[in-house]
Order: sequence, then C-alpha cells, then structure tokens
Amino acid sequence: MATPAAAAAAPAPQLEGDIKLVSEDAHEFVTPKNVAAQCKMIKTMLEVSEEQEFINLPNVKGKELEKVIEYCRYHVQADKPDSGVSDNDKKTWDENFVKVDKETLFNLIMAANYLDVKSLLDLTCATVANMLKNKTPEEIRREFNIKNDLTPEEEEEIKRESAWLYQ
Amino acid sequence: MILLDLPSDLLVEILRQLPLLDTVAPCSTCRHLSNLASGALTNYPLAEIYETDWKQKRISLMVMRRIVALKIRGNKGSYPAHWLTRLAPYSSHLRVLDVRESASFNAAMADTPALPVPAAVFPTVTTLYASGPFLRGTFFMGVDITFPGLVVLHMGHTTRCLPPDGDESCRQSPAPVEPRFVQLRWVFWSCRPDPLPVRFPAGCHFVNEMIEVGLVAGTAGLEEVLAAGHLASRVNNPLWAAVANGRWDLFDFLTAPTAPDTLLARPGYLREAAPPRLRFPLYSIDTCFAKPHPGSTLAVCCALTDRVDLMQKLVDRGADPFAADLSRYDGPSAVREVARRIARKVAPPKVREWAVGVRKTARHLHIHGFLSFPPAVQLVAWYEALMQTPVLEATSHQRERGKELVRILWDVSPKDPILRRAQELLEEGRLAARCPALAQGMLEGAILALRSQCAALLDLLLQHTDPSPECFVVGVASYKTENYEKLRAAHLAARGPDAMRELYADRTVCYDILHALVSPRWIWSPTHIDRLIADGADPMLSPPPGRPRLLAVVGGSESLVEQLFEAGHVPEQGDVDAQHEQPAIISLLLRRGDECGIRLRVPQGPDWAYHSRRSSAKDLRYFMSHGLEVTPSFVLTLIRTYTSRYHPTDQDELPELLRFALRQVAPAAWQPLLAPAAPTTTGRGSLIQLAPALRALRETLAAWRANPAPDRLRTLSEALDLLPEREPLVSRCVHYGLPSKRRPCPGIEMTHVLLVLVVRKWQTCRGLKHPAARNCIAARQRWDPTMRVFLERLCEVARLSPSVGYRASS
Repeated sequence: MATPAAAAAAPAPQLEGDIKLVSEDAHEFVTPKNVAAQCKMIKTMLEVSEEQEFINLPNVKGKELEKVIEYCRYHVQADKPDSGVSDNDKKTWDENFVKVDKETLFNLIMAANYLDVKSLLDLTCATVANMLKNKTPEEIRREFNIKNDLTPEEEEEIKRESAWLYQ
Repeated sequence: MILLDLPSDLLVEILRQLPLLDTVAPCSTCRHLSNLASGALTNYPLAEIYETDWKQKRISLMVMRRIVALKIRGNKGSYPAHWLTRLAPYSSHLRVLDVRESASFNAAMADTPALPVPAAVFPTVTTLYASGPFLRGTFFMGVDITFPGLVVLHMGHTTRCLPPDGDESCRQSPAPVEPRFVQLRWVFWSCRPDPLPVRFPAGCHFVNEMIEVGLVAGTAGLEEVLAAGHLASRVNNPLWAAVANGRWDLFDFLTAPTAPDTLLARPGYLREAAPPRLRFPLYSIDTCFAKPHPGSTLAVCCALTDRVDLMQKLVDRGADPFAADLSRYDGPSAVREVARRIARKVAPPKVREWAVGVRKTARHLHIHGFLSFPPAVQLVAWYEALMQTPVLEATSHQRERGKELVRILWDVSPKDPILRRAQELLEEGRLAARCPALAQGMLEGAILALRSQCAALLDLLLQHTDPSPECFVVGVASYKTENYEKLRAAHLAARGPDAMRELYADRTVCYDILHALVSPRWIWSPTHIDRLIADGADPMLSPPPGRPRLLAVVGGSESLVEQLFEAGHVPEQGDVDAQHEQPAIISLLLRRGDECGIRLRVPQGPDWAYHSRRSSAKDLRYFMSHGLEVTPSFVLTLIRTYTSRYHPTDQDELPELLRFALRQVAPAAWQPLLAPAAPTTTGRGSLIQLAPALRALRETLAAWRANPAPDRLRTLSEALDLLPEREPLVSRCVHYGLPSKRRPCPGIEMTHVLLVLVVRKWQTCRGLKHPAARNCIAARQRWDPTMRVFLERLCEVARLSPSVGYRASS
C-alpha cells in the first residue's frame, strides 16, 4: 500500500487529448482534458481512468456547462506564464463573464459547486453577494423575489436588534 | 430558479463573501436566511475571520483591529444597548462575531503585537474587547496621554474610563465613555521603545503591563519606571509580573535585601502580593489578599512556573506554599493541580515536613482532593491530622477515603518509614477508635486489593476492627475466598460464637451477601453457598423491596442455578434478564420454567442480541418460541457483536445463525431505519438513524477483511441484499455520510462499506451524481492491497460490473 506521503509525492498524470462532456440535457462538448481538469471533479475522474472517452454530468445543463468550459478555457490560457495577461485583465474578463441574468448566475453557482471549480464558485458567489450589498431588506426581497415569511413579531425583533446599525 | 432555491451551504457561501455586518440586511428578509444568520453566520469562528479575511487581505489591519465582539442575533442582553448605539458611527468598519469565540479571538490577538502598529493611527483606533481571558483580571484605565480622548475600556469588570481632562472623579463612571477605545496593551506596544514620556494620570500604575510587554529593560529600567511614578500596589505588583513573565532578573532585584524602598519597605508587601492575571489561571486578584503566611501564594506561583528554586528562596524567607489558603481557589480540581505540582517539584522530605507541620492544611486538602499528593505525604499528613481530631462521625465519604488510602498504600514501599508509621498508628488502634468509618473503608479496600501487601494490612486492621456487614458483602464478592474466612474469624472473635448467625439474622445483610455470592462476577465454587447456609444465611430469602430475585442476578455456572433450584427457587418472569451473558443459563431458566408450567419470556433488545452471539440457530429458534423478536436492530447488533467479540469456537455457527436471524426480519421491518427522519436543517436525524446500520456493516467488513473467506463474503452479501430499499440508504449515505469539504459530517467516516454502497449507487446512476463520489474515488487511492482484493471479491459476489467505471483492482 502506498503511504500517503508516497501518494502525495507521486507525479500527477499528464492529461492529453480530448474528453467529451455530456450535460444533463444531452449536449456534448468535446474539450481538451487539461481544460476539463480545471474542474476538480472531472480531474479526479480522469486520474482514475484515463481511458474514459466521455463523462456524463447529469447535474449540469448544456448552457451552464458551456459557460464553465469557457471560464476554464480562458483561465488555462491566461494563467500560463507567457500569456501576457495581467491580473487586471483577468479581473475585467471575470467581471464581464458574470454579467448574466440571475437564473444563469445561480445555475453557474450550482455547476461550479458540483464540478468543484473553486475560483468560479468564489466569483459567482461574490457576484451575488455584491448584489446584496447596501440594500435594505425590502430591496433585497424585490430584487431576488423573496417572500417575506417573517411574522410581524419576528420582524420587530430583528429591527430592534439591528436598530443600532441604522442610526 | 431564485436565490432561495440554492442549497443552504451555497447560500452561506454567498453570505460569507460579505462583511459580516452586511449580512444583517439579507438575513432580515425571510426566515430561511434569518436562520442561516443565527446559525452559520453568527457562529463564524474568529480564527477563520482572522485567517481568511485578514491574512488574505480581504480586510485591512485597521478593520481587523476594529473587530468588535458582538453578535448580530442571539446572545441578547449580554451588552447594554448604549454600547451598541455608541458603535453606530463605526458600523461600516465593524465585524461581528460571536463572543463565545473569545479564545480564538485572544489567540488571534496574541499575535498582533508583532504587527507594525503605527502610533499615528491611535487617535482613531477603535478596539473593543468584550470578554475572555485576555481581559480577565486585567485592569484597564482610561488614560489621557499623548492621544486625546483615548479611552481604555474593560467590559468584563467595572468600566473605568477617563475623560480627556483626566478628572479622576470620573474613573468609576461608565457614562461618559467615548466611542473610541483602545486597549492599554496596545498603547504600550505602540509606544515602544520609549513609553516613559507618556503622561499617566495620577494613581494609574502600569508597571506590570510594562514588564509584560517588555518595556522594562533590566533592573535599571525598572527603577526608571518606578521613578516615573508607576508605583507598586496591591493589585499591581511588579513581583508578580516578573514571575509571570519569567523576568527573573527583576525578581531577584525585587526580592533582594537592597530592593528599593518604594517596594519592599512597604509593610505587608509580600503578604499583599497579588498574582498577575492570565498566566495563572487558578488565581484571581481577590483570592490573594491577606494571606496568613507572607509570600505563600507567590511561592505557589513560583512552583507553577517551574521555578522551584525561587519558591525555595521565598520559603527560606518564611513563605509556606502549603499555608496558602487553597480553598479560595477555583475548586477541588484547582487545588489538586496546585498540590500535585508543588509536591512534584519540591523535595519529598521538605513536603513531608510541611504536610506534617500544617495539619490544618492537610485536612483542608483532604477535603478538596487530597490524592494529588505523593502517597506517603498524604498518608502521614492525613493520619497526623486525624489524630488531632475527635472521633469522626461515620460517613460514606470516610469509607471511600479509607479505600483510597489503601490504594495509596499499594504504591508505598514496605520499607518506607511512612508505611511503618502507618502500621504503628494502626497497631495502636487509634485509627479505628477515632475514625471507625475510615477503618471500615480501609478494610473494604484491603479486601478488594488482592495484593499480598494489603493482605497483611487487612490482618492488621482486623486486629482492631470488627468488620461491618458491608465488609462481608465485599468479602464475599471478592475473588479471594479466604477473605470471607478472615472476616468471619475476626467477627467471631469480636462478637462471640453467635456472631455469624446474628449477622445473617438481618435479612437485608443476608440478602446482600447472597446477592454478592450469586452475582455474575462470582467465581467461588457453588458449594460455598453451603458454607453461608451453615453460617445462617437463608437462601430462600425473598428479596427486599426493589431488589432483584437471586435467580435474576445469578451468574457463574449452571450448577449454581441448579443449586438454587434445589433450594426451592422457582424461576419467575423477570428472572430471565438480558444481563445474563450466557444463553446456556437463559436456556436453563426457560427449561426450568417450562417444567414448572411457567412460560417465561425472554428479554428483548440489542443487549440480548449481544449475548445471543454464542447461541446457535437452534437456540435462537427456541428463544423465539419464548417471545424473542428478531428485529433489524437485533440483527445489526448480532452482526456487530459477533464480529467485534469473535470467539473461535463460534466461527462455524456464524453464517447459520446470521442467516437465520436475517431471514426472520420482514423486509418492511427495515423501513424505519431507512425512512427519512423529521425534517431538520442538517439531516442529522436521519444520520443518527443510519449510524447503527452503517457501523454494524463497517465492523463486519473490518472483522472479515483479514480473512475474506468466500462463505463470509456471501453472508455479507446476503446481509446487504436483505437490506431492502437499499437505494434510499445509499442516497442518504452519499448525501450525508461522506465527508466533503463543505459538509463535514462527524460520526460517519468514509468507510469501506460506504464505498461499496457508493459503488452500487454508481452502478445504478451510471455516473457521478454527487461530489461525494469523487471523495470515494480519492479515498480508493488509499486502499491497501488487502482491501482491494477483498473488495474485488466482494464485487464478484455482489455481481458488480467493472464496466460501470469501477474496477476494484485498478
């Protein structure tokens, strides 16, 4: 049995060639394996069995999968040392990338979580967080279609507890 | 899809992207988010904020320093409203955290002095501490120094503050607190290396703090600080700071005969020596005033800081650590700790001398947990103390202490003078005369000791002590039959020839002794019951109210049961109890009951399953005819106990017994184990329900992995196959059971069984449906070859196809 240390020291397998990713709604995306491997989940699967020709992703729809692949492809290129892409460029690209409607954004969050793309998850969550910022509860409800199910007493209690914030 | 459709962990992930204060509004929108706020968000560990937010530069140093220990929700009433309102101007800079994280908070803050803290920021610094050891015992004062309006506030104690004009009359008033607070420690750190130009209001002495933060350079520096007006006081004594911070140069300086008059010339200086704060958690300021022996507590402190030499120095000057009134500390455990440390550090003769000399302390320590002293010291001090007291009232407490004393004696060398002294005291009979309950306790301890040394002690004690009925009970229950004879002889010698009959005339005593005789741990020969009968014990005695019948507690051998039958006992319902470990005895009781026309019912429950592991399928069928219900939990317990307490002679019986038991459970009976629990936010309820099943299966695998015989694998496969509705089980395992980064699940680890189950899930779903499966794959990398082979064979048995993407041998 390999010791953990030995396992850790083992070189990561080189991922070459393409892999076909199949979305929940049967859209197929042929992607370089090194791009797909930006998703840790896929990377793990590829490491387990390199001979796989396709991977079913039953929790991700084609639209979101395409966006995720786009994100991964950009960052694979941009993160290369000789890419010449600055951090500011990447930031700008990320900001534009998440300029999508809310439903797509939420689906992207789900997809990033499922596929385990940490940077994309952080990016999308931060985007939603920014949308929450500097808004009153009522504004947030309107913006995100949240039904107020708090009783008047609960609302009063919350107001009382956080009154000092709004003085 | 809307925001609230996202899973809770992702919602928390989103909220965590916000400064905590900014989560107030979203968490006030609906109940779901509100619950998240009061759960996940407000329990943000401070260390995490420190690690992620500060270290990753999400927040600035300034903001980190403005961390305010408040909670958004809950913890109401902890802080007065005016506190909150005062924070309003700073709300955009505040971070909210749970004050319960004060330990982490302090841990985080402990590093901050190393940070570059520009003094220029102080006029606007806002730092507020709420609680925690960082503050406890610390005295903060409002100081108007070079930073106007700078106020130190200590929430844990009386609020002390000073308005900018430094009017001391306001010091105790909580009202005029400015919304700018700074902890004094920070002032000093920021003022380094030259704090002395700072003007302190009259009456504010910070020599301790200066020593603590390293501002006092050598004895000359101390003199300078003292000259600047930082006088020693009862609550602010540099000697304590020197000890607490390991500044032994200052300690030597302060305790030297040439110490400045400003310190040692003051009367009662050592007596008033107050401990510092944090470094000695056993102490508080209030406990250290007016000790009867100068320097006593300080000497204890020295012992606690591994400076026995300094303690010795104080002792040479008259301090007596044992004279410190330890009762005023934080309870028995603290006293034990003090005593243990002192006793370990000080040369035994000296400790012994102290202990003997200070009987009052010895008694006191005895009350508070005397056992931390070295045995010899305890013994002498205790005896000496006891000898000075009148006859003590017999209490169960003293009996327990007597047993403890015997345990102490085990560790004393036979040549030890302490033991000899103890023997002298015993031989004089003074112990038994003055403290009979203690002597009885020692007797019981000696009986149970089973050591030759204690056999001599028992003999010695019996020379002066008439054994109590309780001693007889213990004697009968002990593993040494001669103990009964010794007790018997002593009792007869003390009370005359009818003593034993008189003893057994007491029905309760008689019953207790018989009860001890037939208890499951008893190993005497059954013929000894004849000995007791000859002494007057009545084996037909009906049990006292609330006590079990003898048959219900009978253990040891079937012949003893037969003997009780012969004596006239007839089994009744209730005699067949799950505590009987031997199914053979259960069978005997059942059969005897059948013979008498009494249809007994066997006990139910997992305990019974545990004992049934030694049964055969035939036995189980017989028990079922007497009411045994084989339930899923019974089967799971059987699997677990069978494998964890494997007995070589049972091996051949296992598959048959297990298969038989499994077949008795209707498929629908498994449903409660698999049904979803009442809705909870965490699913923990379901998890708890699943835990026994998973544990049982895991242990089964663990037991069989070393020797994966095909028969056993097949049995396991049957067990798995007999779990109907496997799918929900697997789903829930996958959902709740497997560890993941965002959903840690204590109690259920990644197990091989889970892996197998996940493989099946995988097979069903034809793909990875859940991130947990990734962990499964990752964990598989760590399987050892034995496990791989085993799982490969298991897969064969379970008819798992490698084509689904899983190859156990890969």
